[in-house]
Amino acid sequence: MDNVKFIKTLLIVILSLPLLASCRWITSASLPKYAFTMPPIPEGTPAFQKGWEHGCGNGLYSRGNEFYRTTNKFNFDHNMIDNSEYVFGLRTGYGYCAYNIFGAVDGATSSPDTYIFPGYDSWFSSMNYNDTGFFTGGLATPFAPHDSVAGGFNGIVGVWTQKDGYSVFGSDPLWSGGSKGQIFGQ
Amino acid sequence: MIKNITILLAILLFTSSCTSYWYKPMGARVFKYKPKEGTPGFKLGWEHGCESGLATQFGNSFYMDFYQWKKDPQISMANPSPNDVDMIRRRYGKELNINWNNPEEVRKNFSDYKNVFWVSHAFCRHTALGSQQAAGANPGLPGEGYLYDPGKWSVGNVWKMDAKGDTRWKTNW
Repeated sequence: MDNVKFIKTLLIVILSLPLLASCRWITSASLPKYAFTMPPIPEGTPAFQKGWEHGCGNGLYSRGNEFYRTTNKFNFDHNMIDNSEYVFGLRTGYGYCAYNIFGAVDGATSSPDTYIFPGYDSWFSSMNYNDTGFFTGGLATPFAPHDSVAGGFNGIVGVWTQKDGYSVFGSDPLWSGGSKGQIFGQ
Repeated sequence: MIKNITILLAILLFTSSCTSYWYKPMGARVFKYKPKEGTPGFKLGWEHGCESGLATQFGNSFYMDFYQWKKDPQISMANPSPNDVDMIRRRYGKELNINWNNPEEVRKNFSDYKNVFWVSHAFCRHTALGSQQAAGANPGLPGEGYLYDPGKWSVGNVWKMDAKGDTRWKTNW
């Protein structure tokens, strides 16, 4: 019985830790930095470099993806608010890092992994999954009793995209966006 | 016993946001970084800057329903008169818990407010925009006529995988 009680207590403590961490009650804990995720800090006075590092972290958090939001946080040393070098470094670092992160959004300068598949090649893929996703045709195409019914997950459900009066909804109410490259398609 | 454990977990769950903005979009995410140290003017300036940033078009119309422009024009004045200071004292009696008879302390708090406002404004507005971009839901540019288009962006956008890539491929950091 003592062992069971101990295990229950331990389980409660372990499950509570993420909730406590979200309040940042453990304020002294530092965030990990992974290789190649932080640019080299330019030369300058210690105040400037500290400001630059803080500003860059702010920029990576705000315009980065979720990965950067786990390794950065908002930083502003209130004791240095009147230090012009710190503030200059803060603004410079923010601008540099945030604008470098912009390039990963989309377009010609984006990184290769902005696409689920770097390119559609019919030798390897039956469908262009950037457009269809994994659940609208492609990987699984179950029965299609009506010509207008889509395959894939929608076909399995059989209610979202049926036409000619067979469906409650006119279109898929959950995935009805025009966005591409989703797991659930367009 | 089970009941007590359940109540305890529920309390911990509901207190995990730890911010008065928990019910607003991005409220828990950005306002958890509201400074806990610094002068009262610094903290108020951060809060006003962040809320003003979330109320810009960098977010979308959904954000603009919850947030609004909040920079105090009297605190922002270069040389507020004694009457202005008195009005500010009455307006922010709770937030600016300072010695209003000490001109230097008043000046310091007003200065901190002005210095941090745009820093937090930029941080919060870009966080809102970055979150939308990660879901492939870029708000329209001025003139395009929309800030949030439910016909284009669906609930499934949260599973979007290609909206933001890994900069390590490109930046050579």
